[in-house]
Amino acid sequence: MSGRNAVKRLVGGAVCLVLFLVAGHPALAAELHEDPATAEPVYSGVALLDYYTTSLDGVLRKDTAEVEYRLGKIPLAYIPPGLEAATGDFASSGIAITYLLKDIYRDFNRRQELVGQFRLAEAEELTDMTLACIDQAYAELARLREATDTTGLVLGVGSVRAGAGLTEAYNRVLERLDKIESMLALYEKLLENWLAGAGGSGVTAGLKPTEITLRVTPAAAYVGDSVEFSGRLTGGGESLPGREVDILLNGTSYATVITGADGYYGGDLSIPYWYSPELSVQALYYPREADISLYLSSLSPEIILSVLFYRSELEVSLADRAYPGQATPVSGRFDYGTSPPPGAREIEILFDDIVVFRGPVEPDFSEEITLATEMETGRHLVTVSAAASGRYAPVVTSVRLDVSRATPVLELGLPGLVLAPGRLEIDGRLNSEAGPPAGAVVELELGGAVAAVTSASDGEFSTEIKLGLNTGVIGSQDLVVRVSPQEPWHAALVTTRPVLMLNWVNCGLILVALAALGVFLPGVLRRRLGLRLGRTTGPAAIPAVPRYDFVEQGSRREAVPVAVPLAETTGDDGDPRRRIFGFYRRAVRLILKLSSAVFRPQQTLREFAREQSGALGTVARYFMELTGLVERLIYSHYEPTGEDEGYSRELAQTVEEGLKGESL
Amino acid sequence: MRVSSILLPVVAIVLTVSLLCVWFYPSVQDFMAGNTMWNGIRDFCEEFGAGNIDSLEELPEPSEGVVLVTIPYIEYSAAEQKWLREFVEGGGTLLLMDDYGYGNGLLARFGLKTRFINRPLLDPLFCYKNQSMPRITDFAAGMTGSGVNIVMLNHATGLVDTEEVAIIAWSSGTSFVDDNENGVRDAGELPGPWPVAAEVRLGRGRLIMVADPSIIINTMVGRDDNYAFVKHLIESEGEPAAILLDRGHLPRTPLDVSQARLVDTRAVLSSPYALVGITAMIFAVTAGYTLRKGETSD
Repeated sequence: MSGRNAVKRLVGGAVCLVLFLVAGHPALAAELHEDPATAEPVYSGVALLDYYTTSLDGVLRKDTAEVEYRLGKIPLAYIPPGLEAATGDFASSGIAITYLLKDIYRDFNRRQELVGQFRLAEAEELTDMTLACIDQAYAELARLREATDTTGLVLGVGSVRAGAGLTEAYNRVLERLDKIESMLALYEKLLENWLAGAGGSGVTAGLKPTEITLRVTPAAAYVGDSVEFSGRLTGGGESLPGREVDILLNGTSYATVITGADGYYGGDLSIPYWYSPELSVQALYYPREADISLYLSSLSPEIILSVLFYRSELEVSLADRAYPGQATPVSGRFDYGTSPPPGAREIEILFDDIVVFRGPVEPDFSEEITLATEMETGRHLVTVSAAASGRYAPVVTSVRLDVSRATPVLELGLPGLVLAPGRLEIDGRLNSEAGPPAGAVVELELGGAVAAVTSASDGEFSTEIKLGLNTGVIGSQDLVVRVSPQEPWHAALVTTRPVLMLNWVNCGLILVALAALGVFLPGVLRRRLGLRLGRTTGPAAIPAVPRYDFVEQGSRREAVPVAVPLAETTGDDGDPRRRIFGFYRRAVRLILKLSSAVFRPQQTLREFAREQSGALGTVARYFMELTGLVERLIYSHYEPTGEDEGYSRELAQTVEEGLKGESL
Repeated sequence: MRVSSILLPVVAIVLTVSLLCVWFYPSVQDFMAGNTMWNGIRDFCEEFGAGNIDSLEELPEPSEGVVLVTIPYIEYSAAEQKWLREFVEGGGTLLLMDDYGYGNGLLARFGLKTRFINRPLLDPLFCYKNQSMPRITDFAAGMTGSGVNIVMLNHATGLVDTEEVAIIAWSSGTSFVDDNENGVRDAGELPGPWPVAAEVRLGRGRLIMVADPSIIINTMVGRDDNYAFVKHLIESEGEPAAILLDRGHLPRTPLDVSQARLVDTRAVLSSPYALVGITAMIFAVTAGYTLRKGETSD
């Protein structure tokens, strides 16, 4: 039992050691990454407040694009819970105030221009609008301050746990807010001062008002055509001759005329090629040189001129797919509606902003553009544009084009069963939506054997693969086909086809090996195991020999068989019977050893003796006598005497000496 | 009980248990395809159908349409660099994902000036839970329509000298490269934005550089738009013919090496001759035992 316990402990210890060694540790450093699910949250108040600061710097610069971009990302920031609303308010108010400041700045400059031109009524009106914007900006600034205060409160600014860095960052935000407030206050003060004293009615005191009229005929005209304009400039009821009058188109000065002796002015106005359906025309007089401090400026009522031009629509259609190195058609059609179509029209075709075609085309056109061989596959943009031409407005249309490489389609003719070693003949054909790949290198590999062939112009190819010996027996293997086309519009192809292969050499060898094992192995094992039995197992082949005991059954004596295996007997027992059995057993053992015979279980002693008589030679009869004596002891009531014992010993010794002297 | 009679069974038991442990015990190593824990890449391999190669000699030819994902925590040899260059120039796509490894040697071999910074890229504001996990929200125009709005990194780095490559994604303006790795932005540590992904065409193929391989580990690939980002990088020029993962440049524990060798051994034992040999051995043992049993029965 102690041995078994030791084994159990040994096995258990070895298993534990193996488990310990198997459960190794990661070989890479732990800093490569961490598990987000278990990471501790760390909020950076300083980073958030600094972000506020840099955003407000953009507000001060009135950079609407920058501010909108930065504050638009605020929802993606990692912020403490409870700050979502405050940061959202900061973002929305920050963007709003930036646009307001931009408008205030623009209007402030515009007001100055108007004042310089003594267009004081307009300047006054604009000033009122600007002051309203400033009020809105103050309101947004208040929301910014409130959001900042809430942020500071949540982050713990001013508390014991807040560091100096957090407080400084918070103060920087407040500083920017103060700057914005100062800017608004300055604008407000300047405008209010102008309204109160320096501008408005204060400026106009002592100056004579002027009036200017304007008439434009016709009310509608085509681009490039001329219209007539005329009007009169008066001041204080009197004509103002020799004054410069600016003709404004859409608010900008386009032409300048001089008033005549009676204050009238006029001329022809060429409609610019702006292709806008309406044009605002006004006449402007503002005092120059000697008129300064004498007259006020005047602006005529706005006249809306209808601008006529020919519109067109351009429909562009492309192929569903294009291929690098191949030409692809670009078709288009100009639709002029009710307008008269022009003849040929100059167009440009751009492929991803690169001009690939320029020239005149008819209203229905189709031009081919060739794509570069090294072009990237994917979606590209084709733009067709027609420039303005006289009364015809420009038109541009863009369409997406998918560029890809055509994948070849492979057809292969393969046999149902392939024998290896041997030759495999293969016929095939390549094709694709862009045409058959010509000159494509087709490489075929099966079980380590490789063959290469070049496809013909129609995509067909034919080759054979020499299959050598391999370790397979029978089964499906993949025939790998690699196609490398030469044309840039074809993609490479790698595909496989299953092939049933039979290695007839290996099959034969395996069958021979199995047959050899089945035929020769049992005999070899029998011989080897039989010798081992003679040396170590003892007289196991000798069957148990029955002996009879006599027992009283009432008035009769019954013979009861009692099995007494001869193997239990030795020649050294004191009982003559046992000694005789021992002598016989020694003789049988010697015979079995020398003859490699087997004492079959169903075989009697006499049958065994007869069977071995040929091999025993001259000592056969002695062995037969000994066998007979033993049988008599087994099957009868005879009790052996000492003489029987001595005779048996002599018989057994004779047999042993005879066997040792002869070779069996 | 004699020692010799128990030694063989004990050895057999220990060997069997060892083999079973090696076979079934899960890998815990970073970036291992068989690792189902948070730091493995089992999900990435299954989602993208990525196959594993242990040597760059296994790279297929032609390489057109093939995507190779490599995480170089082991240095490439000169021959491997040459093979990779041939792979890319032949039409393959190399997705080089590196943060603190040996990717710069390969970039130099490719003749590029772009380099991985190999220092932590931290973003204290636009991040997830802490500054070591920055969130990327700025992408090139070509990413429009890809469904990628936010990519989450995990202990990433950045790219520098990117004039000759097309940048795909940038970190935010609040990010910075922590040169002295103290977790704080010091004077001299330049703020962002820093490029974190870029690509360049080489020959008929392309090289894509991503400054954080951790976006493909199990716990990361499903966060934010990481999956869509990787999918876009891999499939932006069409569905690839094959996606391969280079395991040969990832450090492995003895367990991973043993598992790989066990798989190889099983493959060898599955060959026909080995099966015949095993069958013959079983036949011989069984026959011998049967015959011996018949000889010793009474």
